[in-house]
Amino acid sequence: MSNWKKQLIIILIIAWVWFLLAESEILPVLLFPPPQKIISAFWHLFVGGTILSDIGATFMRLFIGLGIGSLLGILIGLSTLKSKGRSGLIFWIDFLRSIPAAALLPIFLLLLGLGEISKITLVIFSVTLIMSINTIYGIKNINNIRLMVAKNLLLNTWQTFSKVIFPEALPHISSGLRQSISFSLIIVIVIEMLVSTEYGLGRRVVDYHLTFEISSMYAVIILIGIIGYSVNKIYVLLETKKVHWIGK
Amino acid sequence: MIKVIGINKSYGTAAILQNISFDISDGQIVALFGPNGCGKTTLLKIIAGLDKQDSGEIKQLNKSDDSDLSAGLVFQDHRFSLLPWMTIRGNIELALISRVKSKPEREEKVNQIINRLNLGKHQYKYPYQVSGGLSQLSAFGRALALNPDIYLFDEPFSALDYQSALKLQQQFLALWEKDKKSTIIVTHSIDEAILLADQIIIFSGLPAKILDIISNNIPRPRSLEQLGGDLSQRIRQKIISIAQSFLI
Repeated sequence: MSNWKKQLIIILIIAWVWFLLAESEILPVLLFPPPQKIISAFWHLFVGGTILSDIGATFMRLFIGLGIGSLLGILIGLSTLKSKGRSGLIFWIDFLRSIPAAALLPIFLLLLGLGEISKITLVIFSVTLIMSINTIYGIKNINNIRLMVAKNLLLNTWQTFSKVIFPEALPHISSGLRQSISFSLIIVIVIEMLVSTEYGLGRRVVDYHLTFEISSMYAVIILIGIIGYSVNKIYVLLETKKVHWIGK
Repeated sequence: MIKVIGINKSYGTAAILQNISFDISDGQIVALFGPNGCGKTTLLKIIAGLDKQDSGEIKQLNKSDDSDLSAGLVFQDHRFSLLPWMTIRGNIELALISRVKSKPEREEKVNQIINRLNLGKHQYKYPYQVSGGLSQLSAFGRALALNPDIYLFDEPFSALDYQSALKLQQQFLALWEKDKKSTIIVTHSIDEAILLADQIIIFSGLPAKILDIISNNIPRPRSLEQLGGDLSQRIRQKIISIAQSFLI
């Protein structure tokens, strides 16, 4: 039996047990609404709900943050190519990375206000740190033989960079991007839960919590799980296709 | 003729090469035989212009211009020397991108080499998708594409299993018979040296000095059967006795 079929059966069993426990009122129904109510709430998220705008708002923050952050991080990482000041930079990145990004949120809010700018800037900030450290490790570990090959084949500086150094660093950069995706989804959801905004998946969870629509709250949480899982899966698929030499 | 004249090299206080001198006549294969880590690779790097000697020089006689000696390097480990993000074809083409600017002309040259090496079936595969022997053959192809003054081979057969090494040696000899280019090959195998080389240069351990230069007059084209003959037996005895006397 294929893996996803097994997992589907496990989901059905969990739902069935939950259903029985909820129906027999062993679990408090208010806190643990039966699965059919969650499914119906899930349906209503899409029909007549604001969920599409929420997904759009969350994705907008996620992808703008990821895009700009990756670009900045890769550039900062590559700027250490000549290895000058590399260890100093690593110290600062490691230090800043050790502060949980959510703890920095108040600073960003004070400096940049309550709007989109401060939310997205925090994502950019975190992604830049992750991406620059991964890029630095990527170019630090470049194989000496490959540099000799480049020299022996008389490649110029740009050719050496684009044909040898960058592809060699790409597996590291790509793994940084994978970490960044998971991490920025967390950050975006947390920001949306903490800072007032009209739309966003994190906001939806909080709102349903406050209005005590528990079935809808579960539905949004499950939706966030599905989205996070899918985005990661899609990325890994892209990675194995595009960065096919990882581990070879 | 290429003359290696009085090469000295040390790293810090550690002397690596001591007064290394020998000649490579046009169309000769010279084998460098000696213990591991005795500086043979350093010598190859110096000849290839990838490292600088402390004193001594590499001279190429009867060259029309005074351009630097061009060398086609083949390294021991094809997993590092070939770039896994490029196909076999791409790896060979890499040797031409700096010198042949026109794409069609480059394609044509790559096709010639692919045909010569019989790599047509594998040209669009990545190095990690083919056997070690085929990878190393592609690495030869890349050196071939450079069309250098001299080939420099750093233990090109030693990462392969015995059968693949034998096969690749035959392939290399067949290729070499066509354009008879001067070649230096570093080896740990007496049989490899006897099969391939016209001169076998025996090195001591660090700091490396030349212990003896043995000429090998087994007629070409050579085959594996000749390895069992009287002449090769005598050469083998000689190499062993020199290596042994050095041990004591």
